[in-house]
Amino acid sequence: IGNKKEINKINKVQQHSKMPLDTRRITGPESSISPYSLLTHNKTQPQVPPSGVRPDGREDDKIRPIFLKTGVVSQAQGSAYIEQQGTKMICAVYGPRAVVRQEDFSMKGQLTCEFKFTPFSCRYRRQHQQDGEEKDFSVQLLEALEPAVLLHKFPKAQVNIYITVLQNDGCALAASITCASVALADAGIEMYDLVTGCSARLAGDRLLMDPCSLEEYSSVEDTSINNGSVTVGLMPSLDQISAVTSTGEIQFELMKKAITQCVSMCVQLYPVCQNSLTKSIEKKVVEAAT
Amino acid sequence: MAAEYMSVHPFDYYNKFIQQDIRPDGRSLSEFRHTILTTGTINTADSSATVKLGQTFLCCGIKLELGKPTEDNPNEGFIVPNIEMTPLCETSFKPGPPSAYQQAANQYLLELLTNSEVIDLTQLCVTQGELCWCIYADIVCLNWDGNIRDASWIALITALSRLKLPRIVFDEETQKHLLDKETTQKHLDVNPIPVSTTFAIFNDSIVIVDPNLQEEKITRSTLSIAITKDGEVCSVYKSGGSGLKTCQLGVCMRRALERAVDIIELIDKTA
Repeated sequence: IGNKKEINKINKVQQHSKMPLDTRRITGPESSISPYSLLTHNKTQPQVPPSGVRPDGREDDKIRPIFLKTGVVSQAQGSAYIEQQGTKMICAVYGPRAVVRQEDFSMKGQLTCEFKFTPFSCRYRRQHQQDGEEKDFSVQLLEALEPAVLLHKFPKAQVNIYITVLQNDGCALAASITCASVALADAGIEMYDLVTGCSARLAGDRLLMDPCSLEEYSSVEDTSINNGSVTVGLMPSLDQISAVTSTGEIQFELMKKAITQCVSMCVQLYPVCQNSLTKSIEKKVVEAAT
Repeated sequence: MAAEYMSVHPFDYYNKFIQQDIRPDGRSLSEFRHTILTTGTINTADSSATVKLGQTFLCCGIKLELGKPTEDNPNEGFIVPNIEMTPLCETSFKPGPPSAYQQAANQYLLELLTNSEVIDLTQLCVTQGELCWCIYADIVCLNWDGNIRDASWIALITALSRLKLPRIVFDEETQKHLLDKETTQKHLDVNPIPVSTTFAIFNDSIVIVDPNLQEEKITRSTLSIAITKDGEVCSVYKSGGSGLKTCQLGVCMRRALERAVDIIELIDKTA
């Protein structure tokens, strides 16, 4: 017996898991739904309340502590692992290596970025193929890093950056900017400066720095004013912004305030990046000596 | 000097070591690389395990979903393992769909899972013929230094053994299935776990244990044995290329058994 309505719901194109036929991977049933859609009270995305404590107890203007380590992928020329409390990702840099297609000869080197969430990194399972959001992040990451890299130092060659997000608890793009630039430095790619990334969430009058996934921007929330988020990529010692992206509706004054705060947070991240790179160089020197 | 010789004549370079009964990385012919296992590394996954076998580093994350069972097996759920070897893990991989090598590794995992009957799929049934659990076990390779099969199997089976299934109740009033988060979840019942051991056959005669990437590239065939710690053989997979004597196979079985005991101890010890 059971409920036909429920089964039809599953068989229709439902939340996140209607998989296009993928003959090269092992497939499960034709479609499946996340168990979260069967919660007793199906909560929509939680709204950011006008005041009060954040889910992890931080103040509005505090960012989460960052852990950075280089040299985690031995096969790559350079790599880095970043952990921003709940957001964990690995970046590997390969290159400079030969360009695949010879007609892409150019006096400037090529830089490519590929951003990917693992299927288990978010609350709802993601697909194996890169979806629109990941392609979007790949392009934004590339735009944030290109100004910092000396492309003319490797003509006719390419440098490939691969980011794999193991766990996403908000600010994936901002963390990937920081992680990728540390990985590039670890690979010995010449750069004008490191690029550090920081994100802010604007909701009503509140400006939350480094939002976690519960606080992240969602277009379905209806606040009367100011619903959006801003991500900034900064080159701290040059004091130049290499990338700014924002989504949602934000009033001008609050936007200015958000960017200023993001810039100051990016500057705070700089010593952490430098520290991790110094440690890795010390380790390499010790290894070379023995 | 050694590095140049190795890149120009990899086979001869390796042969010089083998003749002294040792390998370039200092291991003996029957020695495994150091294995590190941790669980619960990914909070967004329903269960996770990270394995480091030498430099081969991968992470298995499990996501639970609900679906409709097949008509042939209305009281069984699904376990869907998949290995992702992205360009991140090694220089020769290009972006795109899984290569033949990856598909073969995937198939090995799936067959070992089904043939060893380590997990009874009827536990995954919620309502016969209508609703069942689908366990998507995605293994992401973060650094590939050979022997993907052994490492991914350890990660997969550890993550599965730590998995807890939430309760799904059927509400008579609303005629709907609901997720019950209040009651304590129960672990999956796991039968005796087989452990996979991979060997490579060098120069058509010498068997080496746990090949790293360099060794995989200069050998023509590999042999994988999956055996439980009580000596039940679940799978023997030997790809073509080199021949293998029967007595050598016996030696490999014994080594695989020792390895199984060590790995089961490691899995049990890990929190």
